[in-house]
Amino acid sequence: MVRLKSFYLFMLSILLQVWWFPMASLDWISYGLFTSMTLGLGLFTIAMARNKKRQTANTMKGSRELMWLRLKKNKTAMVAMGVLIFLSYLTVLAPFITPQSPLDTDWGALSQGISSTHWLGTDDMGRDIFARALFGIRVAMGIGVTAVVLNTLIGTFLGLLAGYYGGKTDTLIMRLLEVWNAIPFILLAIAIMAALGTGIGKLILIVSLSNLMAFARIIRGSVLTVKEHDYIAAARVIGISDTSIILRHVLPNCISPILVLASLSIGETILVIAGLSFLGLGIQPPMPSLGGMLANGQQFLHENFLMSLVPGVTILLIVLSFNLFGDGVRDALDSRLND
Amino acid sequence: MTQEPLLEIKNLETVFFTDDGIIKGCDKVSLKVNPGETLAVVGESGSGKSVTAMSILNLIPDPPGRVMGGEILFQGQNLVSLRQEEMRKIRGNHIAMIFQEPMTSLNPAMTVGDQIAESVILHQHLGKKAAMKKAEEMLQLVGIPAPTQRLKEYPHQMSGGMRQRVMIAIALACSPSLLIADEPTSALDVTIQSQILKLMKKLQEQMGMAVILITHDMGVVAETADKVAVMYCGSIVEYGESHDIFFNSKHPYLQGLKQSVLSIDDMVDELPVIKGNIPDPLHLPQGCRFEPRCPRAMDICKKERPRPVYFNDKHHACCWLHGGDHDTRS
Repeated sequence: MVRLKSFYLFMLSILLQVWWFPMASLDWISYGLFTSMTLGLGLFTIAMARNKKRQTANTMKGSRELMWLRLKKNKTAMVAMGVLIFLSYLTVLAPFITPQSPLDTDWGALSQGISSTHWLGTDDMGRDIFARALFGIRVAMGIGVTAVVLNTLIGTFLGLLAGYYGGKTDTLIMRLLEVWNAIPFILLAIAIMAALGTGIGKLILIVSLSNLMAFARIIRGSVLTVKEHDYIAAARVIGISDTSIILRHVLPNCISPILVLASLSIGETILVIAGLSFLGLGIQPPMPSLGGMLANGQQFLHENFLMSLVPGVTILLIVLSFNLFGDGVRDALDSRLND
Repeated sequence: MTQEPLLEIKNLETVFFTDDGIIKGCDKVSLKVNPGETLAVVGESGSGKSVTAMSILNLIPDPPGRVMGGEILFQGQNLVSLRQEEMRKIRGNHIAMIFQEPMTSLNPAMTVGDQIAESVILHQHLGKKAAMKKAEEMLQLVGIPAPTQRLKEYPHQMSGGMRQRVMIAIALACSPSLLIADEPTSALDVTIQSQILKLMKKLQEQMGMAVILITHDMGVVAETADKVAVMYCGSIVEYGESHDIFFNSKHPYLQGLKQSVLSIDDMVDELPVIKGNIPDPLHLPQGCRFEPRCPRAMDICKKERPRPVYFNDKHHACCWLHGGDHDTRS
């Protein structure tokens, strides 16, 4: 079933690519991303097809297949995944989808309702709300995913070191992180923004560093259980170095909490970024941001409720999808552990 | 026999520093293993069998443990003084080890083939393809059917006996000259046990390697061992060729151990057991460590530790019953 659906999606993507090709000069980065996403989808289709073949040859299933099968049964998670795939296509294709620029002001159409030129109306400065929301998703997803990837990498690294080596290394890393965690997040954000100024890079840095503790602690915990297993001792006995033991034997067995935590915290991170932008600390105008749009729109709730409704619903959709998907991933991985 | 021993342990002392005090895991253990022979190390849980094995591989977790004294000579090299990087070249390549629990000794996140190939790539500097070919040969050697297909499977797709065969394949992939088997059959059911023992015996003859077999199963010892070392509380209480150990045992502990093995001909209501437990390693008896449980304890046993008494060239025991007036070469 999935194979068939993704095949149609793949064909549709190719069609869209041919369609948009003349416009590629407009935004070649997103066009490239779109192409690679489509290729990724194609590869996924091929992989699924090969899985099907292997499944018929061998009734035993690998753990990854089992996880995927469990995830597939979870309807909520699949819907959330669908929404996320849809949103990421929207994000990448934003410049192709809307003819309006998110920054251009149309002084002839201030604070308007739904129309054929401005699909979701315009805001108080005559900017197209649909375009701004679309680019807002782009910014939010970009920053959110980057921050979580950074966060995961640093947190996993620290957690692995602390858990594997234990003793003084463990104490040093965990105590430092606890000190770091004791500083209230908003205070830290304000302090850093005040000292270094605002900017996307700094925003990513603050958001990714603030959540280190959660990652490091959970990964340290699972490293502690994994490293007591006999196969780690067995790996040591055949003379494998510490670095390869950590990378090849410990890390792959800690991957499920990492995946779950990462997929759950993307939603949270996007929410935090929106909150910071709402307070004026995050993404600075005129760059479109969902939080900023919400802050702007609350002044005009009576005149033009679309200004707050659109970004609000968008944030809700993104965060909800990420959380539901993360929950699904957790359930799928958990039952594998319970086997 | 003037054969150069493959492994010679002299007065090995491995100590664990705990919050409550110092525990001697190995207390002056001396052993010799010749090329190609099988030495069985027998003893209750906590008698220091596994600590000895881990000391040989230089894998005592530090802290809390440390090798405090003695020498472990392997092919003339003292393993105790080697640095970890040098030790890594010996582990897996010259000395390999098999663990007790085949269910947990394989990495669940890696295919069986990758796990066998890992040590081959590391020690023999083969490419990925050649290593996988070697892994396939090894699976064939340990008697796993359809090795090509099994290579790509994960451990959870295999039964306990097959996993133990895979463990053996991993251990033997680099043709080591010494194999340490830490209770290789305890977790398996009896039919699989004998299959695995036969397989190990066969491969040992094929490859000409020496085996140190750690076990508490006297039946396994009788079946496989050339020499036997009996351990109690971190030291060797009796050592000799397996014939001497089984038919001419001297130490009351060993005699007790042998009595507690049930034979199918015996019609007994109650299994004879050695009374009591292993003493608390923090508060060992001052004299002979077996004295509190020994049915034939004497006064001197409480005061002084017995020294080894030699009955022939290889057979010796540490017990006052056999007097201090024998030849006490040390």
